[in-house]
Amino acid sequence: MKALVFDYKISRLAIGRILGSFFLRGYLTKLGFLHLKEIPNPNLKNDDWIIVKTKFCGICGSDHKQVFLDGNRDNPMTAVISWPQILGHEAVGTIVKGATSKGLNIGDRIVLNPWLGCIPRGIDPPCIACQEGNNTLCRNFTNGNLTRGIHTGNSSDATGGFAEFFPAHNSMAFKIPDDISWDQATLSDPFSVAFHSILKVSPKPGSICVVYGCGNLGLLTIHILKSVFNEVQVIAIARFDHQAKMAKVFGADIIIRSSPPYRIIQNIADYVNCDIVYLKKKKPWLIEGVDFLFDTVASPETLEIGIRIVKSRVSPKDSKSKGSGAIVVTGVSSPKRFEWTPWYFKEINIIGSNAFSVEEYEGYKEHAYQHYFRFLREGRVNPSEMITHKYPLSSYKKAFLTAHNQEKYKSIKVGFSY
Amino acid sequence: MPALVFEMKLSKLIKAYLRGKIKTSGYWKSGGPLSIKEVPLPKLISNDWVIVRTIYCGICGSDMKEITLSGNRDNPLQTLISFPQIMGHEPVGIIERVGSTVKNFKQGDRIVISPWFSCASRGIKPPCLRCQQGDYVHCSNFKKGQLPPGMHLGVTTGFGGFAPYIAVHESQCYLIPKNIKFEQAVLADPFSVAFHSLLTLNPNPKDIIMVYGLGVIGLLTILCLKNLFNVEKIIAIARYSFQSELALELGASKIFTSSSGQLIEEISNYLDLKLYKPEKGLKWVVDGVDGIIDTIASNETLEIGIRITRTQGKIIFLGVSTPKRVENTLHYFKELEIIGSNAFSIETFEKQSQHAFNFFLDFLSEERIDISKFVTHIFPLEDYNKAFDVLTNKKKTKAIKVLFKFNN
Repeated sequence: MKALVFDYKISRLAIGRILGSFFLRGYLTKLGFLHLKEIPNPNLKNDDWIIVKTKFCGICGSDHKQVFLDGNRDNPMTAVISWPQILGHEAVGTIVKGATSKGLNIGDRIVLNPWLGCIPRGIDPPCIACQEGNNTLCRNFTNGNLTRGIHTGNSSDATGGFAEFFPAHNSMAFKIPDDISWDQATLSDPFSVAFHSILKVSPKPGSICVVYGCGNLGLLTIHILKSVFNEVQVIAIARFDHQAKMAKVFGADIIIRSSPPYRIIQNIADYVNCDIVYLKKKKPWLIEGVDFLFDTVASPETLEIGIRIVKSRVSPKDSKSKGSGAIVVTGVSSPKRFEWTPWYFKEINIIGSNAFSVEEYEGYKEHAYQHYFRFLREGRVNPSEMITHKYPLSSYKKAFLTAHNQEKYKSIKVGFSY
Repeated sequence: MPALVFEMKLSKLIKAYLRGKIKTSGYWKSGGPLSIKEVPLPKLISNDWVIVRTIYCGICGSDMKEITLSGNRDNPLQTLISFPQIMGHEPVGIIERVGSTVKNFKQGDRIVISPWFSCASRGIKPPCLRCQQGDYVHCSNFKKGQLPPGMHLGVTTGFGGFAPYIAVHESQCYLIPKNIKFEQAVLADPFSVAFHSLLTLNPNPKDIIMVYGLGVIGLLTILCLKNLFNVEKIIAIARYSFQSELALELGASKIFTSSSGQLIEEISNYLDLKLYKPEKGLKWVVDGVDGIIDTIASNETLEIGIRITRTQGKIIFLGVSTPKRVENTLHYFKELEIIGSNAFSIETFEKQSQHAFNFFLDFLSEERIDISKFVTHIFPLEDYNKAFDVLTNKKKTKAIKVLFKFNN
């Protein structure tokens, strides 16, 4: 089959890095680390595995960050992944092999839950996290019968959707109901990431929320806050025109452009009607501010501004709720210094949010994908407009450039169509 | 009256900066920003104020940070302070004079002062929403009302504890019960800082809690964990052996004195944790300590904290180190909550709500806590250079809390 393979060799990374520093396309050079290759089809590991013929696979922000080497060598996640990799974890497709049990059959349309917890790894009994269905917090990402990896795409054994076929354990396949389209299903992963991050704080009616960044995750966060939660006010911070437009479509109450940063702070102060404190006019901050902020970027700039515009923490009324004055971080920008003094002064809670798993909402305790299917069926959400570009795998260079250069291509979700 | 004053004058700051680089005591040599100055005696700002004769005033870690010029120019809290400053915000004393409408205090009362200058002290009526809720440290009016800009004593021009007399609003005064000595009461502020941070962490007695840094706040945190929160397993990171000894005496289970990768190895050996080894940089765990009180909050302590905390654990930080790059990827991956903690105000503990200072005085009266080992050095204000020498040579001097004493 044809597959896009990421080769982790220092020499090839160096070539990519050097050429990439001159022009973006340089990262994708033939002499570099990313190649479209003919490789053998994946095999069934055992009776519990299936082979899926890829229909569509979205490019995640983390995929194009990796392809353009926007990472740091001291990133601790290198401890739990393995090489070479075939990226792509936002995959949908049709079962072509395996699947005689668990309600799955050849020909079924499925969406992949890419997390490689205890069950795909053949570990029995599963760890404490997997027992609860929290396979993103699995204790065994380096154990069991698969190579190291947290999800499909970063384990050399669990190859991803940037290939014509991909393997999956039957527990990782969610059957797509007939009334749900391929486009809708392919957004299950990013939708669930956004949904999970909102459940970290569960804003109540009347809460004022900022969504920082209007890429995939930001837009989906806005969509969910406005369509699934009740009477939450949403302020979107968008970088590009087409993102601002889509934020409006999804119902953001106001949209603020991301630059210059001090203007964001002034706008927020106007909106919530609180005092601005500053020494220098262009370095203001607020003691009051918004209740919650969802940082889908997590760059030094967004963290620094976020800490300035979230209100001082209000202690929660009970131990289960979080209380306002919190930031939920889903972004994966590489770490740099930011001025964090108001973080302690305002006692802000910065909460990390990682992917999704079994979630509890509206009395249902089920996997995030199932919540998503329910919302789709109830007509409460419909995010498929966000898929702006589809490319064949052979145009992978164009696809990554489109996903990366969002302003130029007016791209939101870009993916490979088979 | 003579007061220890910090002046924000560029020429003096440069002088101190250069001298301090050569020798630490250069920061407080005469000619720098710090000096004893003759200032006017404080006046009653309005009828609900009192004048207090200072007995002791503690020296806080943040005072030392200011004196050694270890802040950053982009620190936004500069917005909420004013210069010149009479430093010092941990005073105890005796009420010398009361305004005509003061109801709850009289001349001769022994009191400990909460340093925060929020709405009530600023004469702002009605108070802001935060002050109404008892959250005085997040008052909206630190730049308004009848006082110069400033959050509390020591950072507000004209008001500070390193002076023989202090003017404060009656709401800032807490009566010291007869059976409690000034030497005990003077720890109200640092105790309350530690207590408040633990209420934010809200540990379960079965949790493994780590205390990073064993200065006054770190040691008081151990004291609270053991005596008030009944936590059994307390591990702590110390710099000096005298701190380790006291921490063990106060109830810590294990003290570590190493740093960086070595520290992570030692903790994971002690707790039998599984370590993940990245390509480069520090190792980390998925199952680790349940919570951390980080009293230092430097890039190193945060980086290690993020690595050694268990998935979905909590880190409370109250240090005021200057911000630097922190490799924080695991913050999102492990879904940690990292929460800042600032001072204290009205707290709820054991179903009772009152100011942290009242809890402190109650715990002392009920003998639930013993803080007799904390005050190690006392100096008259004119020997401030000796006091600061002692605080910057802890290895030798074994200093924990150092006080200024006033004989007036």
